Amino acid sequence: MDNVNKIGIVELIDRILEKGAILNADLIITVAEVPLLAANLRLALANVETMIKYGVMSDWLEATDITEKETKKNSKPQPAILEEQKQEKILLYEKENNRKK
Amino acid sequence: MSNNALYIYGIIKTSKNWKEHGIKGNNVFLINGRDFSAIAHRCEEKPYISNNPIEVKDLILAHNNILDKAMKNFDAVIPLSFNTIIKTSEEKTAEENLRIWLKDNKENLLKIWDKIIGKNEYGIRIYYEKKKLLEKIKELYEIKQLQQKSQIESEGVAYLLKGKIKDEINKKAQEQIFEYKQNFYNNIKELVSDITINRSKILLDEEKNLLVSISILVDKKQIQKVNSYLVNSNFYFNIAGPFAPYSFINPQESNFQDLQKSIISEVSETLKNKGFCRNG
Repeated sequence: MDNVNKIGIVELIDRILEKGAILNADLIITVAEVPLLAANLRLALANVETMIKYGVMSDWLEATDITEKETKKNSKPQPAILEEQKQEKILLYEKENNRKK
Repeated sequence: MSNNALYIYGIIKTSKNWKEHGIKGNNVFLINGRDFSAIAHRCEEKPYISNNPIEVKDLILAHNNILDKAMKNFDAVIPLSFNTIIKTSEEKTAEENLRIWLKDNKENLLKIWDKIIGKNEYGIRIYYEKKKLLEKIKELYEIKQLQQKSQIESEGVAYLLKGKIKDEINKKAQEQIFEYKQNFYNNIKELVSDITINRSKILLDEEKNLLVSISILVDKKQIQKVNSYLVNSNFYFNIAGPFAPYSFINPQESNFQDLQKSIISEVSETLKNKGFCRNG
């Protein structure tokens, strides 16, 4: 994937996952998995080492936590589920990092 | 599980029928309200998720593909976020819930529609060349004076002056970057309907000198003018799109008003993140 395409995809992901119209929370199913979904794709697109170098990963994790908090506020999922998702993210991140090494 | 939920891609202003193939080949159709229709497919009450990045990418591209086609066919589309799935409630089906939502939100949808019709969203990233910028600053009279002075002063004074030169270069760099952003903003705002600043969490290696990343809402006929401006502006840039107007669906806000403020606050943030002076 050349740089131009990579930027195009990045721009698209930012929009589709984080923007767009929002329906009333009581009408839609909870999408707590969305940040995980974003993580998968982002790890595939961006160089993990570069992300770590510039501290993007920590920013991203922080942002994901906020998203989870908002989801929690709206849908009241069980805290254990959120913890499990966080662990999954950490494992995914470590796996990708080891693979790069 | 039965397919009693509805995956919603976006909203369009039509009462016609329209059929397409969407995520995982699902049959996409329109659910007509009185003025607006939702682009949907039937699905289970669970989000689309995969651990395989390629599958995830396909899901996202399939969502976007439907919105692209809707934009071409209906001149605009109000996009919804990925994985927006309407569920059934105790008394109502997902379809009934959706129709009620379309009816209750008619006024807001009309405002959004009027704002976006005939327009597309593009993402623009502007870069600066750090090396050239520093060379330019080092050629400034004030900096040269300080450098000359540091060469003839004693070791102690020269040391202090070196620190002052560093501070001065940093200050001039801030001023220059601010000027770049102001110039860019003043020119681009004349060509577009609206602007919003992007705060992407994704940083690509090639983008370490990113000056600003924005989304623009622009009339389809005006995009050539935007492109011409960028080509002739001496900025390094990247433009991506057209996209459905994801960043411009709040009719209450004028993003222009906040942009100036954002540009100012982002200058110091950019410099802080790039460690501008120390690495230069």
